[in-house]
Amino acid sequence: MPSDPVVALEVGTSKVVALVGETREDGRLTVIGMGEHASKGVRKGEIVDVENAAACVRSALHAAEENGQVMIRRVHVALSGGHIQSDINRGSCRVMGAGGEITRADIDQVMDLARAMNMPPEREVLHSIGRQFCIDDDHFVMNPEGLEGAKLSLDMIVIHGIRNRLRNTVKVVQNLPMDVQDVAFSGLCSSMAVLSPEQKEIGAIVIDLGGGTTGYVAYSGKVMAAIGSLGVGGDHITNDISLAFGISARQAEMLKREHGAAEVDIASRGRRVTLPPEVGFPGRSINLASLQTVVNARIHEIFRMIKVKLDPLGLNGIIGSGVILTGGGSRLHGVCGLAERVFNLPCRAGAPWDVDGLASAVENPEYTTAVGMLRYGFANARAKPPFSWREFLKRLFGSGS
Amino acid sequence: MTQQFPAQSAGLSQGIACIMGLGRAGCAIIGRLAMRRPVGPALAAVHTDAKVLSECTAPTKLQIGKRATLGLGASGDPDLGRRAAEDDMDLLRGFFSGKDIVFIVAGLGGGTGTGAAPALVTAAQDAGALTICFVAMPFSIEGSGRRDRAEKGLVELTGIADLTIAVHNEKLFDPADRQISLQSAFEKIADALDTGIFAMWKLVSRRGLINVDFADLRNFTKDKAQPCVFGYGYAGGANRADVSSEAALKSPLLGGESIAAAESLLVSVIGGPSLTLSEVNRIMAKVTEASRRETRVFMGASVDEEMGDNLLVTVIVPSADRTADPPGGSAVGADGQPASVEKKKTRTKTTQDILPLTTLGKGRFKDVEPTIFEGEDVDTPTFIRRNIPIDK
Repeated sequence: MPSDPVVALEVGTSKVVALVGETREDGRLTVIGMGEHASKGVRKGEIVDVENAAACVRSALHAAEENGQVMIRRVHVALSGGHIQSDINRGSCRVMGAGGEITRADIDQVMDLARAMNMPPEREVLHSIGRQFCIDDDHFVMNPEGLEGAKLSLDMIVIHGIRNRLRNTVKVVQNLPMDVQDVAFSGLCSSMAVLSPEQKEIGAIVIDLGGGTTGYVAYSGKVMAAIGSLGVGGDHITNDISLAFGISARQAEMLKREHGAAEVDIASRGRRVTLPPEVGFPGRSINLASLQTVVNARIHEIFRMIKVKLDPLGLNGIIGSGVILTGGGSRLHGVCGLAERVFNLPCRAGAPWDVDGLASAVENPEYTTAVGMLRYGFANARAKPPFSWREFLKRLFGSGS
Repeated sequence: MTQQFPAQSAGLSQGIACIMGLGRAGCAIIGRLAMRRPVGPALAAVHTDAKVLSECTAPTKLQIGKRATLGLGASGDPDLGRRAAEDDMDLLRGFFSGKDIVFIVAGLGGGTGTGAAPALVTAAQDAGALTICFVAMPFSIEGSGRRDRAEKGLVELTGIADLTIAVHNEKLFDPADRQISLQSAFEKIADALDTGIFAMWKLVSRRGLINVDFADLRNFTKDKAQPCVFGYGYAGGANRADVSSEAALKSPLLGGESIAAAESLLVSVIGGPSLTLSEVNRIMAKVTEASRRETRVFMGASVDEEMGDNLLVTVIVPSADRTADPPGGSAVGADGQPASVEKKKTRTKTTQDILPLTTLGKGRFKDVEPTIFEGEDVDTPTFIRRNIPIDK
């Protein structure tokens, strides 16, 4: 018996995507329906125009209903925005079990302590993900139950964002009306979609080059080392091009897709590309090397920003499988080569891993986040979450909903 | 001379220039140029006002915005001036085609000069030409509205033109001098612009003995967001090298501290056939002395028959107004009268207002909360923040 379908919704800066997925008998995730709509009213991953955004979400969901032959009542929403950041918080306690044996009660207590992080009042915790337990400050284990020790510590990555902005996206969906079953950070979803357990173990960096934001996640030794989001994305590349050459955003977007490259190609020196005329705009030609210079400056900066965030963690030499790029930006010509140079690691473009179903949804890097959201939805439906999501949602989005 | 070497590539190496005067002030200067320097680059006058054009002595006249202004002026409205130029982009582009260097001369603060200049720059750049703008900034007596428009226009122009050179009318005159008539004041301004254009044209037109390369010029103008100022000195006689270079370096147009603060500067030396090597040496020594050690100096020298025994030295530097805040900036006026110092102070203040660079150039992100990373607003295009020159 296939499971009940789960619907993942991503309200992105460039498009709204709704995917309908189910797990087959063998447990494999299968995408059975998808709907998409160009996004309006979203800038840098955050809602700026509620009405336009709602209309786009409605049409994307409607398309997914038709495509997947399902009625959509509840959705899982992926949240993004440059304000979403993470911190590592450590909780420690003395082992209370008889004879120094660590029990379930000790683990629960240390998890509560690690989760309780001091934060500014406007921020809300989105996820708290346990990294490793540490016994007596020197012995790292994944599951300490039954082991002996005097002191138990736990490092937790706490992902948090600004409450009002997280709510905005959820409100748009709730006002459709539509039940929001669960929410997750889009960067986390992307990493869940592209990383296999082996890759997590040998270490990997996932960079999701989205339209309005760029998400990054680093794993090493099965443990999440860093996660976060930058409010810079493909939209910025388009905007840079449009300002550099004084052309419309639409033309700039077209130039980026057709001729953009992350590195200046020697062969493009002196070559020009023609822009067709459009209403109010006579046709003109653009120096190809200049175009690539503009794109290179921006994308190089984005990678450098991520590198600045990751460098203090001392990940050198422990990222075995290198950098995996996903999201629409990973289609940019030459982007892997640039990432290799910046991070000094092998790099490849990644699409969702171990997913069946609609080819367009599972093979294109643009849908990675939504596929990851499906996987997240199923994972959290199967394994009982350590705390009630309903309670969490109530806290996050007000008891009235 | 140009025949001596095979042209490296079509286009730029030819150095075909044209000078375009825009608006009332621009037309007046083109008229002067047409009378005083009949041999030289192509001259054209551009205006919205048919009457001014008909009185102008320029060989080519282009009337723009017949539909937008009905042949009258832009009546001090830059938006109208802009629309006028945009209506006739094809006409302008046609004129610019085949030109390698385009000089645009305009007085800022009015409608046509302020509004249409950016459109002209764009049209010239579309035709593949290097654009150099000479603009006159209004007197403060012309009113604050005019000054505000002029300053806004200057910021816009510096953002797009390859090189923008501003002449601050006020700086040309000692405020204490009450004798000068209005007419001779404007004559003096036209003289300064005329000289600056002549020197710049000689410098880049590749007809000189020592030429400034286009690559050098692009290097020089890398920090495009900053307008340039220039000073010149003209002298004859035995000590002409010393006298002319000193006059150029001390020119009130430079605003005193520009040279010492400049990261790079352009020097043009123009003399008659009697110009000697030691004179050029002497001039360059003076310039290097006045500037900092690490300043990059680009120089060009050329011979013009009409100069006779005279020597013209022109120095072009990025304006120091953006950073300079001279507490007792008495480098200009040696007299140091309290009245003149006071006047200068208010002037520096207003010029500082013209560069709200942080809000410029954010395009679609101008209304959203900025993304700040390491103190930089990353919504502004990276190439602007990194000063990467973009060849359009």
